[in-house]
Amino acid sequence: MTSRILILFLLGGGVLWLRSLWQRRQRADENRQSDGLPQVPAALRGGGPAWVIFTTPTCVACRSVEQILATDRPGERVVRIDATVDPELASRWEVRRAPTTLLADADGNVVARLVGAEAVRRYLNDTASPTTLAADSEPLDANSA
Amino acid sequence: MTAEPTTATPLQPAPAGIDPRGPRTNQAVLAVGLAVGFAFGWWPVAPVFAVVLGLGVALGPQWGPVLVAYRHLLAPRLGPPTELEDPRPPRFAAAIGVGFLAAATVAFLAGASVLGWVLTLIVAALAALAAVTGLCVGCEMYVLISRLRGRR
Repeated sequence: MTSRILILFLLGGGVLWLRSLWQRRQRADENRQSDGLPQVPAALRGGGPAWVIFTTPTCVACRSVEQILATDRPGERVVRIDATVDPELASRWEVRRAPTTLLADADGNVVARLVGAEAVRRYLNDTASPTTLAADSEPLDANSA
Repeated sequence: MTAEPTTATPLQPAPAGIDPRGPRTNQAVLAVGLAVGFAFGWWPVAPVFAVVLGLGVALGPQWGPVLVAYRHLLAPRLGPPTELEDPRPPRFAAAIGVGFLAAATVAFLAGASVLGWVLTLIVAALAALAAVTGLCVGCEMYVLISRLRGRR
């Protein structure tokens, strides 16, 4: 019995250690600003400024981001990239989880990098005026473009 | 690395999202249950939880005892979730758990109790990890397998 309890303590300690590592990584990802990120190419943006959403096929929160943008910023260009299909594009902008949303200006500069649906909602609440993006009612699926 | 987005599989329509706290509760109960079973050396804990998980996997979340308990007892007290998740990855992860626990049961019945406990503790550790971090290894496997199958 004692040895079994000891094994459980060791396992529990390992799980808590992994939890701490995971949380540190999540926080670093969420706090990563847009500084130093490469520009979003015009071909990906459709020429103008755009919201670029990195998704996965099982990401339900990604749909929330699309709905939030459609509601709060109607008419602005939204590009969807499946990170599992284009992992190279995802790693270029240091995407570690879905949804990660980039806001690119007319020159392709990344002006915001937002992790999670709540971050997008907060960003939209904090930035009062829309960023004058190109008109597109439906998100553009960059993977099938 | 290309500047252009590459052409590949378009996104498949996903089913309606579920409250992610349901599977998290399932994983927490599984981890604690298996750990207690191990502490007392009570091997039937493996087949018992194989059945508990298997009901949800085979018949849907409405038949998973822990998921039902969560929905009726805990969810109303917690309020609506801030985010939803796709039900397919946790279901796949649970199916892997059932496989491991079934193999553990066979090992116990065959007299290989060390192997049985190793398999059981793997499930307990991964369930505990998913419960406390949200990092679900089986769910990540589901995404990876879907991607590989989609590319074929």
